[in-house]
Parts: sequence; structure tokens; C-alpha cells
Amino acid sequence: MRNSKNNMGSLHFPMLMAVAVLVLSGIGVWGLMNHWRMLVGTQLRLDRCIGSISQEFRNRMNTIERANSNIKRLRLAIVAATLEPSLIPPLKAGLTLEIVLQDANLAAWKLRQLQWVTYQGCLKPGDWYLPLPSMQWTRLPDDPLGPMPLQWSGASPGFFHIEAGRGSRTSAAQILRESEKREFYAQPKLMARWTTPKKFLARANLY
Amino acid sequence: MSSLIVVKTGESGQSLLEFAVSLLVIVPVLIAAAGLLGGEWRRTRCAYRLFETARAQLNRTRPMLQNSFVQIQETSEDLRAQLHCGNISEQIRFPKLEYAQF
Repeated sequence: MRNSKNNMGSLHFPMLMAVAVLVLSGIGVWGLMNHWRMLVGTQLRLDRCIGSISQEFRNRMNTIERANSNIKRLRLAIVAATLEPSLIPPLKAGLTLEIVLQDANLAAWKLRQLQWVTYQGCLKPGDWYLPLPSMQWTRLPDDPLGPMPLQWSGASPGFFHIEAGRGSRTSAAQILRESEKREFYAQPKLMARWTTPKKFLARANLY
Repeated sequence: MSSLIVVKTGESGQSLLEFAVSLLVIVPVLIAAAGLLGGEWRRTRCAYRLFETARAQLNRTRPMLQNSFVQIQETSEDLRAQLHCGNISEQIRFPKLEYAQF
């Protein structure tokens, strides 16, 4: 039996091992860095999503409430205009405009809620979410003065919570009333702020 | 059963030469690669720690990563955080939701 030994590869082998170790560790480090980058990317996407939907909710609620105030003022103006009946048609036209504005905002929010649960909005399939808050506005039937303002059915919640997440990443926002009234007659406006996700609160209560 | 071992003499110099040439090429490449990778690693880790800590502060949750010497400056409009990791300095700015632009 012929057994031949050649020592030419004996020096290259440790070098090859060193290169292999470096390459493997590089791939590992790159993988971890990429994982962090993906986590941050996911978090920013969720933040943008929750942020934009919260601001939309706040804006629509503020628009509806502002329109409600306008409707109340217009109805008072219509009562006062009985002394000058020629003013009643433009006032009623203004009233109708405010009603249309409110209905459009309510319809748009319903559509947004539908998009939210069907992942047609800013969420992606695989994300989990809490349902978007409902706008529980109802309108009483018209009276002789015209359409009535919207009324919130049930107790008005102290705040509205919007939350979504993917895996371990979560983003949450609250929409609540400002503590100060800016105008004397106006209701305090709604404002949005980032908040602790309920997922974390549940975990904190668990332990 | 007999075995025949053939050792070619006079090739140890060739092997040493190859080893030296390999070292000349590979060692600088390895050092450069390790330095580049290490630098990026430290920068990424620093940025990630800062991101997590600042975000936890913004959400009023407990920071996930302790022992982070993060300087946080909160204004009415945003939250700015800075972290020094050696010679690396990372900064981040999170706008509060009322002032955020999407």
C-alpha cells in the first residue's frame, strides 16, 4: 500500500480555518445587526401607522365637535332670525353644510375602521391590532328648526386608545381632552399622545 | 503489509514562502475586515440601545436596557436623546404625537 504525505496544505489549512471563522462570525454579526435594523424599521412603521391614524381620529373628532358647536349657534341664529325671515334660508343652508361635514367625517371613519381590520390601511398582514375606537355619535330626528346636533351615545370615555403591533414590537397612542379650554365657550379639544401599550400593562400586571 | 511513505525533500521552503505570501495578503484583510465589522457593530449596538431607551421614555414604560447613560432632553414638542458609546455618539429625536408629521 502506498501512503503519500504532502505538507503543502498543512499551512493553508489554519489560514482557511481563520478565514472561515471570520466569515462565519461576520455573517452572525451581520445577521444580528440586520435583526436590530428590522426591529427598528418595524417599530418606526408601526409608530407612523398609529401616529397617522391617531391624528386622523383626533382631527375628525375635533371637526365633528366644532361642527356641533356651529350647528348649535346656527340653530340659535335661526330662532333669532324669525324677526327677519329673509335670513333663515342662508342659515339653513349653513346648517345643512355642517350636517354634511359631520356625516362625511363619520362615513370616512367607518371606512377607515373597515380598512383597519382588513389590512388595507397602514397595517400589514401579520400585524395584530386593537379595534379602532368607534365614533358613537347619534343624531336625534329633525325638529322645526332643522337638523339636530350629534350626541354621544353612552358615557363619554375619558380617552380613546389605539394600538397595534407585530411580534414583540408595539405602538400605542391615546386621544384625550386637553386639560384647558382655549376658548371660553368651546369644549376642550382632543389631543393625541404616545402612551404605554396595553400589552405591556397586561404583562406588568401579570407579574 | 508494508507501507511506503514518500517525503519530498526541499519543499519546506516553498511552503514557508506560500505561508508568508498568504500572511501578507490575508492578515491585513482580516484586520481591516475585523475593524470594519467591529466599528459597525459598536455603532449599531449604540444606536439600538439609544432607540430602545428613548422610546421607552417616550412611552413612559420601563427602559428595557439598563445601565444606559442616555442623556434625555424633553421639550413640549419632542424628546431628544443622546448616547455616547466610546468615541461613538448617537442622537435621536422622537416628536410628540401632537407635533409629529407623517
